[in-house]
Amino acid sequence: MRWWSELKYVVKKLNRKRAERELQEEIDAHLEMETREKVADGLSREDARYAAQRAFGSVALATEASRAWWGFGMLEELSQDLRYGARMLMKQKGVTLIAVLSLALGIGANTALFSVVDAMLLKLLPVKDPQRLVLFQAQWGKNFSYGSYFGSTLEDPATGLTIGTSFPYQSYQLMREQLQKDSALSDLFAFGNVNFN
Amino acid sequence: MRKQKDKPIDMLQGTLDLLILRTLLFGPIHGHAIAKSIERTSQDVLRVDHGSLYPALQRLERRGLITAEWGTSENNRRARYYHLTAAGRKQLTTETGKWERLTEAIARILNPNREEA
Repeated sequence: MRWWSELKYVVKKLNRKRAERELQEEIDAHLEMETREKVADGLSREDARYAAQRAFGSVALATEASRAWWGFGMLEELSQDLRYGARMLMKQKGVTLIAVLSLALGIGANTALFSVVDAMLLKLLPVKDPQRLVLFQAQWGKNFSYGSYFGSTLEDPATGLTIGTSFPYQSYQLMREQLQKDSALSDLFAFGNVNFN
Repeated sequence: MRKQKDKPIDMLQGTLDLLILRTLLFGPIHGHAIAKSIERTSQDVLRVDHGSLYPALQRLERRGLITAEWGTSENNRRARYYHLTAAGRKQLTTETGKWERLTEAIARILNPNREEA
């Protein structure tokens, strides 16, 4: 559970004042102990203090390097970067405005386009159990003719019959009438092109 | 003037952590005692800037390898005492093994004839 002990450590060090004070006290205690040792070796108090400081090196450096372990590391750097970014954006308001506007337009256009595509192509039809929908095709022989026909056709190579996607409205009406007696389908609907002027 | 071979050697990067862990194996002690112990047991060959000990202790504490508690020193001063944790003990074993393999390898490169002899 290394992350747990690390989290506990970081949370404890969130109290920066206390952490600073403790580190300072620790370093002071260290210097005092070293000084006493040198005094016991026969140095004057002043020389001993100086020797202790020399053995320790830079207190500022040690403090700074210790402090470096207290933070959240990457998270703290991230927040620094974000603040820096925000400051830079405020500094150059024109560039920021253009960037924000082009982002807004881009996102807006994409959203609009997507909602159309979603409604037309991606969403299932708003019916109960859409996976049970079936699509009817019409089949007719060579000597049959509609008169006028809107829709695509395709020849079935096995039977020689023509397969079409459209039905005349009268066929639809007949099929709906048939539906009343037939329990295999729960409902029937038709769709077609509508032209707007 | 001091002769070349008597000059203390500056610490290698990363060895300080290993030495601290090893020193704490004998029981909890404070920072000053750790510095003294490393100097004394290395017979003054290794020079540890006492100040560099404290960032290393923070690092080890953060990694959960040691824990610290305030206690009272020999001369009645408040001092922070460092203990080795179970994770620290494990780390010490791994790092010691790594260090031994490394020094062996370097010794073999520096003295290729010694093994044949």
